[in-house]
Amino acid sequence: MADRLEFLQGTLDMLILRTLALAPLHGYGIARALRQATDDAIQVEAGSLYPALQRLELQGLLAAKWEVSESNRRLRTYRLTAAGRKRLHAEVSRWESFVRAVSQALNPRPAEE
Amino acid sequence: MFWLRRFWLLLPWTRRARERDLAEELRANLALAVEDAAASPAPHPHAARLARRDFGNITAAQENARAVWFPAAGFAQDLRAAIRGLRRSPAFTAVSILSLALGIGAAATLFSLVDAVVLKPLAYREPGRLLFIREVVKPLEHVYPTLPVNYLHYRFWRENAQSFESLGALTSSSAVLYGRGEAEVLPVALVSGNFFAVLGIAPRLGRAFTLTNERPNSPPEIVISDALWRRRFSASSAILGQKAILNSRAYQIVGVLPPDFRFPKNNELGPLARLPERIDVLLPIQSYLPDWGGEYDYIVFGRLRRGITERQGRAELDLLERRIVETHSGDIAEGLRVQTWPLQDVIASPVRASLLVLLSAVLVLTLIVCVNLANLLLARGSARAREYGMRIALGASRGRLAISALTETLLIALAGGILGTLAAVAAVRAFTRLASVDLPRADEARVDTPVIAFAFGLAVLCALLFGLLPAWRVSRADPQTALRGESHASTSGRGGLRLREFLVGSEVALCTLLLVLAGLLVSSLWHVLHVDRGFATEHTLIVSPNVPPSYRTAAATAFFDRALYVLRALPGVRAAAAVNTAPLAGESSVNGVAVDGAKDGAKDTASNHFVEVNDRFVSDSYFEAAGIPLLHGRVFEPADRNRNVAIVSARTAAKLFAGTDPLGHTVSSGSRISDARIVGVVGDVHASGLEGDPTPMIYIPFWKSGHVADLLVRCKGDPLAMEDTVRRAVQSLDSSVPAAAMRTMQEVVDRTVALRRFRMEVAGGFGIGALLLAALGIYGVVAYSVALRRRELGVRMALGARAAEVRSLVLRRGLRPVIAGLAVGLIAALAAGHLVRSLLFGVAPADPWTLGGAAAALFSVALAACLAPAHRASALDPARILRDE
Repeated sequence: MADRLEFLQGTLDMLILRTLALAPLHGYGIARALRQATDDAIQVEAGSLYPALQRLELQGLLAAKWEVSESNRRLRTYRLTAAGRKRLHAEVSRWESFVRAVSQALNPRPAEE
Repeated sequence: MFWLRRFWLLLPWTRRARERDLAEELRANLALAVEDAAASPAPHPHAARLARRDFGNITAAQENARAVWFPAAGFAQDLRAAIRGLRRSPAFTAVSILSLALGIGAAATLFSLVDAVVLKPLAYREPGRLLFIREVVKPLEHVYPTLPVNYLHYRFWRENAQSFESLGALTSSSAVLYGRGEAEVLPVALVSGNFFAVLGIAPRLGRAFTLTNERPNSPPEIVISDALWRRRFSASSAILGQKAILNSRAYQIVGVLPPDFRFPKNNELGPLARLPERIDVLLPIQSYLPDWGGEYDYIVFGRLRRGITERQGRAELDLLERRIVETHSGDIAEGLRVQTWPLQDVIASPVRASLLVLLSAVLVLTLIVCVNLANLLLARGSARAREYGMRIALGASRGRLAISALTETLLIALAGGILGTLAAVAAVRAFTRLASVDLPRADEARVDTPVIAFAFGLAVLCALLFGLLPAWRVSRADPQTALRGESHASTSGRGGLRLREFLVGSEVALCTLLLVLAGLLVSSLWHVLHVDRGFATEHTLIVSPNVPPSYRTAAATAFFDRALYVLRALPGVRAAAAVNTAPLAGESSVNGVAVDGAKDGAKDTASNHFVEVNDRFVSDSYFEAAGIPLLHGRVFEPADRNRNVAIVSARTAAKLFAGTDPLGHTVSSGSRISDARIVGVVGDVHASGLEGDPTPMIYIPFWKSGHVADLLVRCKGDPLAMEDTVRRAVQSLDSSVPAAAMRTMQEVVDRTVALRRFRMEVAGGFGIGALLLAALGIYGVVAYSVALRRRELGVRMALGARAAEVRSLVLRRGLRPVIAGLAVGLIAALAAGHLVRSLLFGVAPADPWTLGGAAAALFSVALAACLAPAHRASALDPARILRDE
């Protein structure tokens, strides 16, 4: 548990969008998917996840709908909107260039002589 | 879209639905997580608990979600908490809000007065270029440093001065308006044709005069005031071109003045200026006395050309004055020059000093309020140190605590600001309605946007300035010390006490300043009221019948003779007499005197100046009616009607005859007294204010003078009860004499000292308020120090200290900052004394009685404030205290 990763600002939003890009999910489903995808490295707490869902929904990046699951439970299911998809692409490319820049800074290539 | 959705969430039912949804969502997902954990291939023994833990904090999720919906929710929370906190301690809340409201209310009231009287510019075009001009006449300079202007001099300037665009003049008169209801005497200003052009104002209706109106044969035209237009002509715009009958002559109404038209009042225009209280009718000046050497009767103002300074303008006028002296040396013996002032400075100049002193007093009071507030807040902070310590220990951030402490202060400031502004609205309204004080333009005082902004700005400033201190202390609170419990004897407690003692000391010092000021003003008023006025104030009624100017001397004399006859016959009247200018009604008919047929004016043997006297035309028994004592010789009798006799005042006698007997000598003065034989000497009387020297007078029987203005009626009982009887008696005499104005002598005296009384009352009110606040502050600090030292005092008593010793211990400690503050305050009062010197009468700024009295008052109040906590300390039960620890 000690090496649980802290989120960079905005990273959680991106991860949620990414998770929902594959399929509509409810809150717990998103948390579980993230945990499984990162081998338990990222565990999202309810205190962060649900407010983030509210925020993304307010921004119109997600659409929510109450659905009844197979186990006959009413669950709020989130789906990516078109705006959400666009935002996801933007975020991902921003993230990738950021990661590239950071790894370059961490492992500078020897200067060519 | 985003803002729309967010706005939607502000609606309470949407919000509640949203909260319900979120709660259900969290519940369902948690159940799902727990189920999921249980369904794993190898369930952990505490799978359900672990799943709950991994799921996270549901309350936090709800809190954070709310923060997403309403980003300001944190502030709202602070606000709610602050309101709850304030409601928990109503005494603290009430005292702090009320004291703040007191300070803000006083400051806003005075600010709106100062704003109206001093700060607001005049409604003239480019008022900065307007100069007010008076003449300096060498032979009269020692009595009247400056005089209004001679009309011929004015015309000479107007025709020749290059540095002025134009020069305007006016003087006062009165006229009777007939038709449309009762005949009424109206105050009239005779103005030069360019009056409107020079001031740069336009009538609200119709047209202004031009220079052609000055021609004697031009059609008779008048401009009327907005007030008269509303009152007599029901604000009809069809009034233009109509005729109005003034003094049996028909005038065409050509214009109506704008409602905000103001001209400086008489008391601002210097001695001997003649201008009615209000102006209802403007008439063009068409005739004047062709006299180059006297008749200094006109109020003159000029508009400087652009780029010309006041000094240049004055220099040119001085040059022109010299030319006048050269060409008219027969009329003017020597030195003539001018004095000028910016017209803007003239208005309100007599009250400017008072208002500024009162404004500084109000700032001092506000400062005291602030200090008191800081003190209360500090006390509250220490009382809640435990609570704050607990909150810090529980993880509240210090910044957050400081903000919540500040929110409380801001709430207090807001409430104090609102209450104070309401109080100011009421005070200003009461003030403009009562208006016992002749503050120029005070009727324009309003609690308007700038005043409200001032009030709230001040409130918020107080809150920030003095709320930050406690907030800063709160944020520094040490949870360990705070939580250690009752044992307050920590360094932070002691430090807080020292800070609060310092605050109390400054409060006392400021309070001393205010009390000394109030004391000096009270003492000044007392001295003014106890000046020997020389006339009787009680039981005396002054009636001013408005005898039409068309009455010739004989008709006017006959009217007054009959009036006196009727009045003296009334039961309840002790004496009745006529006089051209009643005591305190101002100086008038000022002339030089010649003795025993001499050609030249007499000189004062002491100062070698020409003697100037006021001529008064009085009926027989005037001295009895006015209560002026006869010192020597006799008073006038009915038989004096045909004799050429005079009575002089003691001062006149002293100046002219220097100790020798004046009876039998003859005096000449002005155009109406020539070689009158002196038959008596009477006591001195103040002609204008009560504050200067009494005015030298020569009295002449009124039958010689014609127009007499006032009737003095000395009653046996209350003069107000006689008013109706007297009015009816005068009215029944002559139907063409319109309603007589009436006032009691007491009212006249009150009016003379009204500004002084107002100043004193305001300063006194501030002083008492400051005293109460200081008492509150002192009480708070002493009570706090007793609470801090409870344990120490208990130990002392357990070891055998007697109650009296404990009491004196507390008293000594409590009075220490008071005495220090008192000393500083007295020194400051001595240093600041010269600032108020101009407002004082009969008392020096460093008056030991006043300083001592202020100190004694403050000290006894401070002692009283210390006694209660000291007594409580001496009644402590040592056994209980020691058990508690």
